[in-house]
Amino acid sequence: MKTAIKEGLSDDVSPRTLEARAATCMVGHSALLQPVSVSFRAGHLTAIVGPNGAGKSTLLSLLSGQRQPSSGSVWMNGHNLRQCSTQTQARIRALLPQDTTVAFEYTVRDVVELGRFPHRTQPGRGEAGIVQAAMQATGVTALAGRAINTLSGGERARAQLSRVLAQIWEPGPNAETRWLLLDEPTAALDLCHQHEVLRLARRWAQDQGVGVVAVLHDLNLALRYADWAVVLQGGAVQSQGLPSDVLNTTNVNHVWNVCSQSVRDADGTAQLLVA
Amino acid sequence: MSQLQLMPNRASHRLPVTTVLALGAVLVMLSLVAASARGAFDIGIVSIARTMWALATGTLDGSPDQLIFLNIRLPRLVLGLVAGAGLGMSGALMQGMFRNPLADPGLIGVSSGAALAAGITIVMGALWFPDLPRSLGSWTLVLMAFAGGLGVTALIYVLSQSEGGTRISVMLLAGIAINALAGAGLGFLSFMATDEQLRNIQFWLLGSLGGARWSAVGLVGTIVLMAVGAGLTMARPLNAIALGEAQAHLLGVDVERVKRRAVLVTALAVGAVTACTGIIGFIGLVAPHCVRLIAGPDHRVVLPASAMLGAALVLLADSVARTVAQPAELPLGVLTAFVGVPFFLLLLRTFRGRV
Repeated sequence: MKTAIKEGLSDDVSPRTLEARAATCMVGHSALLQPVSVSFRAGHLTAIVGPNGAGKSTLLSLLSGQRQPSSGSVWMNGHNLRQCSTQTQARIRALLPQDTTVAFEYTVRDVVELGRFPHRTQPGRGEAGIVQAAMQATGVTALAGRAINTLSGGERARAQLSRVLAQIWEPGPNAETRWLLLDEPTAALDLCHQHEVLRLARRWAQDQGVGVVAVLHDLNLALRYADWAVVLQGGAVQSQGLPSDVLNTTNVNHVWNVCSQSVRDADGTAQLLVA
Repeated sequence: MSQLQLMPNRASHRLPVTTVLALGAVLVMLSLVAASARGAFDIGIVSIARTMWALATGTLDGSPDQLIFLNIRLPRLVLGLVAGAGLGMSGALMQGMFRNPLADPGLIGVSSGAALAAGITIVMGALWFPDLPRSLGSWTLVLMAFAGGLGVTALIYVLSQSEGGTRISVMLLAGIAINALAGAGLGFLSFMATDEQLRNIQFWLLGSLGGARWSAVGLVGTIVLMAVGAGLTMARPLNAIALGEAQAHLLGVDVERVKRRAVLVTALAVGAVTACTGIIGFIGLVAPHCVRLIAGPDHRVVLPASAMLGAALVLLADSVARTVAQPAELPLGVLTAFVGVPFFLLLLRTFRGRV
């Protein structure tokens, strides 16, 4: 599987990126996003960080095609999103939402199966196996028969993560790059599951060449797991680079208006202490 | 953790799809048999079987049993079947589209629009459009009510349009507001009406299968069958919409198209049924709930099974309506409400945490 993707890489002429080109988002007369140009790479876990109201979720909604940019454009694997059907997009890109409530008494398995909805016209070899494996990946197999709305917030979030993983479980027929967008994936999770989910996301990026873009509030998680960090402030890209470079104390103190100190973990990872 | 173990595992008690649909079919058949035998004129199962055999072999002899069954009872049964199926499935469609278990087909204005138009026709018809009955005959009221239902639904649909498409929350509020307005209009008409007109309005508002004639049943049946057929194809997209409209869109569902079609299908089915029978309440609300409790929320089951259960409920309610106060006939809407309201309150108690 790995080699197949590697080969696909060398043959593929289209760029393996998810890109916003001078994209803006206006609601009424206020600009939620200034012209933003930023490119996300396949095989990387990129963290979008920034204070509240910086435009993180807005940027994610442009990348996911939920909103059309007011001006500028968004490109996925070299195609303008305006020219791709939602159906085609759904086969290679999934978004984990913040709001995970589901109407009616659907079970966890029902919800994860819905992740396979875009593939119903061209089902893969092991559809049932995919649902099972996706539930296993986020540790919700034991909850499969439970109504999702009776679960705790964290369990619900993991079930929904399982659904979005099922959605892009296999590479498309043309081995297009898949994209996994996560909107604050750790918000409802306990400490252990926060790390587990980001480890899982990074594994998907490294092993399968999936492009992962995660909005994160916890800068220490970004420092530990992200390959790249994009800092948003006031609807514009304030800085981007390696997490350890852009999330230095000077920049963090400036953007978040806090007083932080940098310390080193036992394995050398930079972490921030905020007073 | 203790709560975890106390929580019954609902899902594992769900019946499989084929079992539910088979049960539904059996229930409809039983209701048909029960409803066909009983009435102001008891025909008897054996006689009905003989009549059906005679019909199939072309050896009808025109006995009273045969005439009553074929010309009065049978169209009424078919109308009940069609009305219940249309109302039940439309209820499931609307609850799925609104993502709200308390939604009802009436919420998009189709029933109140039909009622208002019927009221206007009954009270003002002779004054405002005296020539209509000459060309339309007994169809006048039916066609006016059907047009009224579609018109008010279209108005609510247009009111809920915004930049990003159809806003469901706005549609809900606009629906409630327009329904209240239609209610006020009906109230005003009742105030203006003569005693006889008032009785007609009342009768219409309480629903009845009494007006079943083969011509009307054929027309309503065709419309409802087409609507049910179209509705059944929307099961999978409606499942995706349960995750929220945004997530459904991200799964590749054309959410706007689904909403447009759900409203159109409901307006046609419920509009046609209501125009012919008057308002039959609570079937659209109650049938999908029963199905979900038994079979789970998957619309691939809920839509067809709600149609079946709706049909069975209307047939049974109508057979009670015909027989309980003989020779008088109770209004059907009264009976469906007598069953529907306590059930609805029970649901409210059971699901109050989630409403």
